[in-house]
Amino acid sequence: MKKLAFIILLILSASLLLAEPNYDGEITVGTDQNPTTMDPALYQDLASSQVMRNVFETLVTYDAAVKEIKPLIAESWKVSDDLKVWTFKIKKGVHFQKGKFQNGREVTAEDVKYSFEREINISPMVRLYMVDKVEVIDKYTVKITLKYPFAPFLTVLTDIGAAIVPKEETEGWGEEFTLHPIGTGPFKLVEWVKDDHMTFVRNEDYWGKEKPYLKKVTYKFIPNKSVLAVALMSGEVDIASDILDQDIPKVKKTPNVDAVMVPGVNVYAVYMNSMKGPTTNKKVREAIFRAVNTDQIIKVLFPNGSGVRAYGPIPPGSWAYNSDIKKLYPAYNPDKAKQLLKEAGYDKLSLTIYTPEDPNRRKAAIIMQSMLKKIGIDLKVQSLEWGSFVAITSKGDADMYTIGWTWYPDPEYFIFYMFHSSRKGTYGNGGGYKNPKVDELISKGESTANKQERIEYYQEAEKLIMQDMVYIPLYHKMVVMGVNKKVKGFTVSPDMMIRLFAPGTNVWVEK
Amino acid sequence: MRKYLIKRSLQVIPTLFFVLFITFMLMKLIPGDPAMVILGPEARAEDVQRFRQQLGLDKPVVVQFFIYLKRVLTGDFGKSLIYKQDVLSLIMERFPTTLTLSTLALFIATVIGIPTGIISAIKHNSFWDLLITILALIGISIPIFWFGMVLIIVFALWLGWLPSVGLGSLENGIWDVIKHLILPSLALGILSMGTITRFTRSSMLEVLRQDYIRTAYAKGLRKRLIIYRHALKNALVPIVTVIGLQLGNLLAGAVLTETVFALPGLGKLMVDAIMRRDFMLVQGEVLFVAIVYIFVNLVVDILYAVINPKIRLSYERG
Repeated sequence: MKKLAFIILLILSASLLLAEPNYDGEITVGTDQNPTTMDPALYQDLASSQVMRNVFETLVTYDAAVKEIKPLIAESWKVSDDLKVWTFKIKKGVHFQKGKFQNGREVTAEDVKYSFEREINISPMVRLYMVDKVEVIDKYTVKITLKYPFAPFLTVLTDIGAAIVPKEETEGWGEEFTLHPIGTGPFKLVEWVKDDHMTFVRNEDYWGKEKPYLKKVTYKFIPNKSVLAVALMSGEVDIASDILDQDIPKVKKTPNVDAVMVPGVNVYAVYMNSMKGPTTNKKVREAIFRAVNTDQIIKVLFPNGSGVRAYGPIPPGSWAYNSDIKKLYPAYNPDKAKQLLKEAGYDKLSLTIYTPEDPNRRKAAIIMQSMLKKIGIDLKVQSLEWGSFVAITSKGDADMYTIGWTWYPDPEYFIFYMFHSSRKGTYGNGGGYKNPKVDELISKGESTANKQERIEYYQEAEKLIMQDMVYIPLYHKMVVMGVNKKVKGFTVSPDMMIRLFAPGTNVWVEK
Repeated sequence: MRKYLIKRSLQVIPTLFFVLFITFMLMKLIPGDPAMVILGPEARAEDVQRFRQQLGLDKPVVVQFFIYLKRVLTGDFGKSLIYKQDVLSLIMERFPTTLTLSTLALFIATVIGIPTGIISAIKHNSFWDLLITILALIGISIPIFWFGMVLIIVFALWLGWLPSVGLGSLENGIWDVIKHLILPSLALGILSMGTITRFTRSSMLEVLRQDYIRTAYAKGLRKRLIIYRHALKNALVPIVTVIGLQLGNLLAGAVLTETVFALPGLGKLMVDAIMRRDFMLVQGEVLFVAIVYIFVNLVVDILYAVINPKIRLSYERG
């Protein structure tokens, strides 16, 4: 009897040991996008921001679910009532990684001022364009004054472009800082073979109370998504950054891996031209709306459920999402569509829709082509590589184009960039949409502090946009990542960032 | 011989000039403002304008070309707009991968292609000839992309014998790198293999029909001596030509192979650079590849002289 009890105890304690996080794990992340720089002020692509988060940190950051903004380097902050002055207190004891030009010294308000001014001066994107001046109040307090009231400023500060960098290293290395990045983050870059892989190791001196469980992180760059799925299934990578809808069943069938789906903060739609051509006629636009069976498109594109029907430009992942917006979506009615076209004075009509090489958008356009044919519209589909696509659509030369947009959950980043009249001439508002009431609501949304009021402004703008019938929401893509079952504590983020160590997240690997 | 080499070397200069000029102009003709493409759709108009000025895009096109030409002549290929790294150093980082891949692919293609072509020619119209011809045609017709993925699924996923992606690392030993290159070399080499087989076959058939071969048989020489010493040596000139020309196909096919197998080579670098309108990188790479190609052609021409004394004489005379 005693022997049995002893054996049971042994097994129980062994299983407890197995379930415990360990500090020796190594992980390989496969991604199809190739980073181009490790300098936060100079990056322009998602892939670079992905990997920079291992080395650099910002004042504030999103948790893995991308719902709440949490303090990171900052401890607390105050905002003036007019939303123009933001004062941050930074935590004591935050220090940089050891580098060639400094030995891991403490981060002070001076560093925040330096980093922000550096971004404004050298970044081609100037993410901090709304900042007027940055002042050091005392060793741990920094005051930022904006040029105008801007409610989403905290969101801007979560962008890795606003990371805090050490002056000695950026100036010491000069242009080569991107090859020797030093920040305050949980991992250090030790090897970068461009286009092949990047290796990070745990920063043993990390300032935080909690240390990362992972000892080593390797990123492998595999441009073809189906090959990436194979690499996941064969065990060569532990996390795959994206799985195509058609590969999901294969991944699900493989015993040691899983395909995890999370609603993304994105929207894919068809945007019609407001400046020239037949689509300037509202009846034509409504006809096109009613000729398209959006549910059918979703069924064909996403048989495995990695895309869901969209009804408005604000995605469900945003805290300003309005589920009632579906009431404003013109219902599928091809007979009414034909009638509207006649009322607009067209027996037949010829239009061109532009799409990038993204297979989903191309397929959606081709399906639309057959649907519009039934009501007498001859829709030509032009599929272009990205650069040419952006050139033609930004200039307003396209009758229609399939637009994909993904950014922060703050509605400003959807409504402003796609529907404010000042964005005419950019890819976001290539068709030159202009509605002064919408512009006014956006300004109110930017300059109001109360979150609930901001939600109302943006939702009101969304209603007006849908009533103008110039933007046909099609689908929201789920973020689908392949994860090996031995990876624990990993949450798939709706913004496609792979967070291995963040507030509330510390990924480890089972032995 | 020396006169010939000098003449050839001088011909290189106008060739390179035209390559550079045409590439430069083609990059300008592609739609899409490089500044807008590089900065991305969220950039503001004034940032795009400022970036254009930084890149010198507001100057007249001909002026831009001569500014570039002057820098190239001093060995400055400029900086990549995307990677912010010196173009020449980026190319040299990647070149070994593409070179190794193409060489291995060509090696496999030649080592398999020539013998099978010879067998096919000797056993003309037999079952073996038919089989080899069909396999060669399949090799020529197979799309590299598809074949590469099939190889990955069979050998990496189902059998687990070989890795699916990447280069491996010399730190883990030379076998690690070779392991990673087997599948991509096979995928890339299959087309050349088919081509070399067919050319060897037809060239050998041509030679075997000649009178001097019949004379050699009549003299009672051993068959193997006839095939390899007399026939093959004469058949080699067109075969070497084809092998030299394969380099062009291999460099082009390398793009697809590098994409499927995730290898950091020149091909992929080039495609990425074109898509992102990194015109400094594109121009530098095209120039580099042109130089390599010209060099390989020169080597091939010298090989002719080595193989065939008649050609050697004609070089020396003219």
